[in-house]
Amino acid sequence: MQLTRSKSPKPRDKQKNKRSEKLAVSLAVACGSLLGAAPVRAVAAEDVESKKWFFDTGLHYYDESDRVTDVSLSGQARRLWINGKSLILRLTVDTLTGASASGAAPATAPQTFTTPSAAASYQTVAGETPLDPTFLDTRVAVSANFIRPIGRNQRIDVGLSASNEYDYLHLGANASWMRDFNDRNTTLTIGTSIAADSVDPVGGAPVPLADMLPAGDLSNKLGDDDKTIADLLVGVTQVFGKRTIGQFNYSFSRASGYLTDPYKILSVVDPITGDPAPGPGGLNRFVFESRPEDRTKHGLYAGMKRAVAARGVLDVSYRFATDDWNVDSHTLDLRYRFGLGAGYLQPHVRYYMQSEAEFYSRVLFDGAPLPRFATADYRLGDLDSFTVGAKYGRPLSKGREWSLRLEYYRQSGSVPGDVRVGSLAGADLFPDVEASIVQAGFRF
Amino acid sequence: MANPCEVLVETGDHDEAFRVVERVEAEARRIEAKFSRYLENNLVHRINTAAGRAVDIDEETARLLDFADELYRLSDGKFDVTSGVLGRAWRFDGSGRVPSPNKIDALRKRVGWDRVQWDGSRLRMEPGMQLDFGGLGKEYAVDRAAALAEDEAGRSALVNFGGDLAVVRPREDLTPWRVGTEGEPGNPDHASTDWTVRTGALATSGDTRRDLLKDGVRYGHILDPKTGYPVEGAPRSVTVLAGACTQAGMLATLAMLKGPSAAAFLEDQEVEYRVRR
Repeated sequence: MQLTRSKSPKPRDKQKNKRSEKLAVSLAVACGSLLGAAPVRAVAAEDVESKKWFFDTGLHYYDESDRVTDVSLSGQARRLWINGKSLILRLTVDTLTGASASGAAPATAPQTFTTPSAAASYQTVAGETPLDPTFLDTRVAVSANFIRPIGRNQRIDVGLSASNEYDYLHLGANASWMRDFNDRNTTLTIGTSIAADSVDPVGGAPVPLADMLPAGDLSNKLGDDDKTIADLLVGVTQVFGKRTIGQFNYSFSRASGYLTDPYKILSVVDPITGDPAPGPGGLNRFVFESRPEDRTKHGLYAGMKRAVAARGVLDVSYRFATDDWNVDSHTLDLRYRFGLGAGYLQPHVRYYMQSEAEFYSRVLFDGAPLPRFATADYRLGDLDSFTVGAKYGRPLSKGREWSLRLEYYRQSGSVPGDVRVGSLAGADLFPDVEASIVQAGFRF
Repeated sequence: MANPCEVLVETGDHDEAFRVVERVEAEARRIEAKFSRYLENNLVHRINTAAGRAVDIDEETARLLDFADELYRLSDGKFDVTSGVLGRAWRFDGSGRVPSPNKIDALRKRVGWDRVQWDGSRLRMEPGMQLDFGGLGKEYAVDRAAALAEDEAGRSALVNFGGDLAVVRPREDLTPWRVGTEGEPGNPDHASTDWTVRTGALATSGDTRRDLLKDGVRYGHILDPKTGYPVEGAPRSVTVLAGACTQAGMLATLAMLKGPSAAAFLEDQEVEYRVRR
């Protein structure tokens, strides 16, 4: 089959088109007389609104039992033009308070730690997972994206982003190109983004694998550092008949520079007793973690949305990610949205599992040579998590909608058996994390 | 109208949607009852059975006849509301029968808007001639119904009568209505989400389900009233996006009548279009 479509507007040959122009105009006038509107309304009539603002606001509350609490306020303003252009502005302010696991292992006796600023020290009680209790962080993030169509089958999207917290600054830029094929049943997306981030840790970035020193001693700290991240995404969205739409993405990400978490440490323990080895200045021996300066990730995503009943939508997706730190992860996400009264209810379950990074080490053994890279950050350990929850949304008139989402999150992990020596045999080396999530949103 | 008809209204109010649908349906039925040539006891039937007598014409029908007159002029006689009788000789039913030249000649003598006496209030046609609004009735009904939907709802609505459709008012979020059109010949159930319509109308001329194949020659179903034969080199179908459905439909039909130069014709009209061959 051969298909001819309208081409882009081009300079017109007045002489050649004189007769045809007359025809189009005469036809419009004739239609006007027939329909009682003279002349017939244009495709984008001028009396209709041609641009509009839309706003999305949200309050997000995340609370880990006895750990971190994150309260975040977000707002998004979208400016839409009837010709398909749009501008999207986002602002997020979030505050993180509470304690997070430092990476140190629990011990049978109380342990003393130096704060990152080296200004003070704190203690944890025997048998408990050491947390860094001084955590308080406020982050402000802004971004802007501009999307515009090019002809009838292409769109471009360019954007800038920035975020700032007291020890971290992110600056990024992104661009993507979308093209429809196959009678708009297929959309190809190619996107790229780059980010230049700088890290200015409290007290300075620690020397990798240096010992934690007593309060007041900053000789194990360096200055600030930075990293760059480049991402590439190639995606295809495909319509499968009237009820189903699928999406497939491949993503590539390369980060280089300072990828270490400056606040994470590892315990150095006796290889027989499992008890902490003695460190400088009367402290137990802890070393700051060390990560490679490069990380290359590949991701594959497949998702499908299917209309299953009058108002029901099934949304299933699977994501696989792998990187050269040997962290492989699988995410399975399932949502089912159905009409409930004047609104909708959307139950949600999500399962996530990942393998540990090749340099993940729950503890280091005293007397053994230090590895080049080591981390005890649970986020790079062998873990899985389960999320279950539901969202209720209630559309109102004129496109307004409020929604409420409640979720429960549970994460558990495991450590290699060979670290369970002596007193560590019975210790909880990878405590479960539970969190509740409440999110309220209003769109207008 | 022997076609699936639908109305989509952007509203959360069931009663309001229902009122819009009721008015649209009533209008569609009114127009069908008044102008269908398959019904008896309507004006078209009276005209077609007047046997040479003059018939009084009401105001709405007069507007349609004036419009048909203008179309006849604009198309150099190729758009002719009296050409319906030719369709009886041609059976686009897959039977592969091409009518005899004698039969076509005989029917051709019964075609010719220029021979109809139309003074704006009375119409007189030679016996044997037939008037058929089939070429523009559906598009006209869509435009009329869309105007009523806009009046009733005051918000975005899409009126679709068998693939000819009109959108009144943009949607609240300014996103377009996405319209799938019938796909490739031989697989008419393959839809493509091919058009985005914010306001305006879409109409298709030609039908991927109807043609005639004889001795390796495909005869499309758009007939040239001058020759009595299908237009040579006509596309399988032409779809046009324009301000009103009647406008889109007429541009699509005129393009079909242009045969091989259908796309070039539409390019000159500066409308969005698609030509399938």
